[in-house]
Amino acid sequence: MQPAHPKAPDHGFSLVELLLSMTVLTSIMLMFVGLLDQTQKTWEFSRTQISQFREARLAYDIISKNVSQATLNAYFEQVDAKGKRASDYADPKDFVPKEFQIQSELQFRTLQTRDLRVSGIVAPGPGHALFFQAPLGSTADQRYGPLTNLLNGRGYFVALVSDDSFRPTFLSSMYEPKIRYRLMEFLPPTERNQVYAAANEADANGGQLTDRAKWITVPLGTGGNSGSLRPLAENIVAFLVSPREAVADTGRATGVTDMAALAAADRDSTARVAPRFVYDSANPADASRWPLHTLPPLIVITMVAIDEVTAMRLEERYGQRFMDTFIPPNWMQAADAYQRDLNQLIEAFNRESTRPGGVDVSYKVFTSTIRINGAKWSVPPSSKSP
Amino acid sequence: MNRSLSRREVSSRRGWSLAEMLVVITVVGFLLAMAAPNLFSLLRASELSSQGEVMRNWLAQAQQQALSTGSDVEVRFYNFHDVASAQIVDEYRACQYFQYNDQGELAPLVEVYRLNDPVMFSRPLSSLLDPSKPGLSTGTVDAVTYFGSGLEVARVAYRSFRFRPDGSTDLPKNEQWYLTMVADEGASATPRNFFCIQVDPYNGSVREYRP
Repeated sequence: MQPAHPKAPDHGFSLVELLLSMTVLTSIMLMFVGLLDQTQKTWEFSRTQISQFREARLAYDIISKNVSQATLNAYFEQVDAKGKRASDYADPKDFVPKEFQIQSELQFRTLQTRDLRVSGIVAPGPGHALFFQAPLGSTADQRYGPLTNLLNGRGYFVALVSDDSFRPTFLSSMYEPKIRYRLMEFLPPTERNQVYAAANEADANGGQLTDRAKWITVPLGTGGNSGSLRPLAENIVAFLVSPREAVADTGRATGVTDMAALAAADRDSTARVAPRFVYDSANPADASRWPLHTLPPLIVITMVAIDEVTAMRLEERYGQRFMDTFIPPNWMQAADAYQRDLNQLIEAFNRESTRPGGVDVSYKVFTSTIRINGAKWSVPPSSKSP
Repeated sequence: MNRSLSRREVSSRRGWSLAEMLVVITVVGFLLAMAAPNLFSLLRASELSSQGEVMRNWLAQAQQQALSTGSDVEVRFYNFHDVASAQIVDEYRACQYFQYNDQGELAPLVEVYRLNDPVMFSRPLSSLLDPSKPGLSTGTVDAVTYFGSGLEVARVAYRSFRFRPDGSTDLPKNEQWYLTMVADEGASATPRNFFCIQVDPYNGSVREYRP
């Protein structure tokens, strides 16, 4: 009789069998690793997106809350035929009043960041800056706490900033400072609000900040360490501000239900109110576009955020000022090209992501229109223009 | 019937010898021993970063609460020990935030959030928990009300600061304010791994720093 088991179990696996099984096992494991890697990547991606989104959204909340309270505290004052006020004359008897005019010592300004002179930053970032006065009651001395309506200057813009001056001190000995594009908040305390300083004299000089803007230039000039300038959100690579008319409110488009016509009117208003993204409520040279000493009824604010991983890779590839690679010359200089310029940046990011060997740029664009509660834009500016 | 088996067949059915077993166990044990420290530190690191992120979002949420409701939010850090959880020395191990309710009382908005071992706040690297830094308020709360009956002390001490309705804080502005979380590294001044959360006293923005 044959033994219960023939020879087969004796000789073990053959080399071919072993190789085959190893190949199968390896391919299964590779598949798993690939799957795991993919899951990990997706997880990491959504996690950074969420946290980035949170920081940017919080910053956005703060900006809209503050800017919607912007005020010029305007009042009527008698002027003579030359537009001079009683206080301009040494002898009040020489003053012959003719009419009432809106007056204000406060300002609302938007301008290009490259026109800013800020100490304590590496470089101004892409886009625009926004400065205004609002009753926010933020003071250096805690004892003023109950005075919650004290006037404060506030401002927002993007700058390339090192975290050296504001990160916890124990980190300084351990790591190199991190230089990133950050959304900066300009927030001098009430005690250092210079808006009523005598040197804030009218001086029409395009978008350049001049003496009239001492309340902005003086605290900015003393730099980031003074506490007048603090980072609000990291990895915001562009901040855009476009003052606009409330088209429907001005009666320009009353009765128009055609969305395309409204959109066109809206574009029109962008180009009319601040054609070069420059708005200065106190500049008489601009009074043809908006009534002097008035706030714009609406401002459209756009923020472009990237995540930290993207920022790290872009810095490795293109250096600290990596946005110079993506921003074409004359970017966001003309308001009628607002959408085109924004699309250009998005396309540049997308091109970089799809380019072989390029950095995968993960970005998010936030845009929204903020209504300024204190705006009383009753005179259609077009009635003044020729 | 010939049921006798050859010697070879007998040995193939005999199973493993003790020596073979010992060799295999030694090899497996050696491999495990090699992998374990790395595995544990990996676990600790992931625990630290997940709890750090929760803490960071928690603080951002407290700030958002102050912003969106237009009223102060008070953030408290509790200092206690808990023998039941083998935490025998007083440390800051939990936090909670409060807001004034309709009756004008400070009422908790969230449950007490307790850090899980091995993650803890590093006291030398957390200016917010440093008793030598003035500016934070202190007080005590009833242990049973806030922690249940688990703690054997009657009152739990805390340090607190507030987020203002404009998103800023009531922290003194001439200092840097931060919390550092570490996992199982004790009170070292230079931990290898940490999660540092900074609260900007000017605009309340919450930033994180990690190695």
